[in-house]
Amino acid sequence: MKIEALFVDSESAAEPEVERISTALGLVPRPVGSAREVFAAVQAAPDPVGAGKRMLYLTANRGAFIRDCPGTAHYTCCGYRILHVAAYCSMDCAYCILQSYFHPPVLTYFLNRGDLAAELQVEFDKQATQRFGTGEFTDSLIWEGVSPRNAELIRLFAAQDRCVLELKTKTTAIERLLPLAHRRRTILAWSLNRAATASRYERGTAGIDARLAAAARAAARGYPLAFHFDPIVIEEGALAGYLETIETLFSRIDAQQIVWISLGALRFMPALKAVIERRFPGTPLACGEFITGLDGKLRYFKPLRIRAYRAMAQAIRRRAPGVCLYLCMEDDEVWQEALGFVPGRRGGLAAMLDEAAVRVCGLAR
Amino acid sequence: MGSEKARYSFRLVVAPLEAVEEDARFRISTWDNADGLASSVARIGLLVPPLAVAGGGRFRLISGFRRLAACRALGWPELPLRVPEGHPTPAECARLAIAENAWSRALNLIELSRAVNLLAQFSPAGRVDPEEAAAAGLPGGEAFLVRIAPLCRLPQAAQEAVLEEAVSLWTAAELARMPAEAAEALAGLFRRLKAGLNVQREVLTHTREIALREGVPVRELLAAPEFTALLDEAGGDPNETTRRVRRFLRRRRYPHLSAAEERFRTLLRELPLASGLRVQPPRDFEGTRFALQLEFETAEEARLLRGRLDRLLEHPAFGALLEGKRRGYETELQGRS
Repeated sequence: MKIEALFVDSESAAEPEVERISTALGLVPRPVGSAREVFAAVQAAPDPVGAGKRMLYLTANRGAFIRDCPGTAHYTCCGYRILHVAAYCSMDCAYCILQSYFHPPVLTYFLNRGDLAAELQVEFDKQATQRFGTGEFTDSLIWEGVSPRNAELIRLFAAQDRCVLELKTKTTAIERLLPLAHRRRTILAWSLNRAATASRYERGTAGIDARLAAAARAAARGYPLAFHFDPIVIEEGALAGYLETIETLFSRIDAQQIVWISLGALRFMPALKAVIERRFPGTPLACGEFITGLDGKLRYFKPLRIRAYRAMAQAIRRRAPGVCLYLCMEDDEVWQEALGFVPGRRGGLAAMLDEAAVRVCGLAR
Repeated sequence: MGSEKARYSFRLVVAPLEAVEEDARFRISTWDNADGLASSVARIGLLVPPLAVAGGGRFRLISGFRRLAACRALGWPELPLRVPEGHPTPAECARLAIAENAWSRALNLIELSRAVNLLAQFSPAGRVDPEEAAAAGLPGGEAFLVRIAPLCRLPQAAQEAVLEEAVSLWTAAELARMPAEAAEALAGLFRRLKAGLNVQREVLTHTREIALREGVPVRELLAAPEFTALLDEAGGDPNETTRRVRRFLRRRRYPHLSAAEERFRTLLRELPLASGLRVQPPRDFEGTRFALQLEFETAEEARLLRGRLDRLLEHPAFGALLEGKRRGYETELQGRS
């Protein structure tokens, strides 16, 4: 989506990045005294969720840049650490939880890069294996055309040996990242889906073929890769499409370059259902066989999830037996049935992923 | 609609019936039948003359359509009318018509909807000011006005369901968001079920979601032989019809979950579960923990249950009950009699 309005927090207006971003977007930044003015502009629109994708707010992150993944007690979390560099997304996926996560949702980009670097340095100094990512509250690469943020992060991570950065995206905006000296400390990750699901529910994103082509280019430049089949949308006849995407993936990408692959079936807080129905009328996305999970989210009936995971896991293992394959937010019963083991038997999911990062990215132990 | 301009004085005129014409734009009442009123007017007289606007020797009726019909039915050559002084604009006529209706009786949902639409026609950008609506005697805030506005555009069968109170306001508003054919079919079903709001909500949501997922129009879904058969089988009993409809829709909306529940119940029946002993699966089979409930009053009953519990735990179907959950009990019943 095209950005139509640019707001800047008055206190951050002098940051050098403001001019660079406004020039790149061709917009004059409008200074605001507080976020409330931006929120008011978003909320005045007939579709605030959509309007928030066309307004960008430049400000400082006054909270922590580094946060723990908001996992829940009942399901196994990957223990990934979130780099909160920006919020919301300019693409428009029907299932996106960010539509109901922020109140109101508005594209936000944090300018205080010095604070981010300082927080990261504290983590690097711990000399422990850690996995960081910017793709939890936004798509990691949507600002590639207007900001050098990712290049800077890649340089920071390349200068240490214990941590990896995962940049997760549905775009193909990797051009400026390709020549960087990443030292395999940055994983470029793509969300994958079956092609029909992507074209139906992932408005404004790159097609699956294009994502895989970008991944192949990144691999050629030595970047470690990751892939996330998340959300898996369970619909009549969908499984064949997912298996097709898996085949395409391995026909283009060398499994040795892949750090991990995750599988996660569609799940969302009940409040999102009304948003989906309002913003995407006629979509059957929320008409799956959902039950209320132990975390209060709507999830597909468990045997359906198990069946989909099992079939996809078999297909992935056939092509890449050594790849680290994991489930996102599932319990031991699903792990056992779908993958044949529970993470606890292998030291826990976080340890499994750390180990994969050490092995594929060459981190120091 | 400024409040100062809208204060009127009225004069009473007696007008020949042929000089009175109805301005249907201002009709709010859903009652067409004026027989009862005609008989009252014949015995007691016309207590409140209808409201009309004068112009060119003729009168445009803006409120009192049933009263006019009653006078016509009685063959009166003329009738008294209240006529506002000056030349009220259509917007002012709308407010007069609504206020006359709303302050004299409780309007039903369709009448409220007509009134809101009438106000909207003459409001900037079609947006009704809640204060303006309240001054005209309409209840509710802005959200209510927005919700109720489309009701008078529902297909006739759906409007009738609203008037019969066979559908609630929530349901009516949802029907108004659906294609006319779907609204009509669902309204017909609700008139048959005579169910409360919660059941209406469940039936409507399930129907709409099944239709969306399967790519079948709602009307087609509700006209399918398997659906109409279950209505026929219920024999006209609304409770039985509702029970069957709910079961049918739930099975279709949640086919795997419903099948698992049925298989679970079948397995449960194989177990030696006497009274006082109950096995409860995790909700929707999502969690991993089953619950076992023992109910007793005396120590003797508790001892009896202990024995039954031992037999239960050793029964082969008990293991199948625990193990089969993750597969939705798809294989547990195979090969059993």
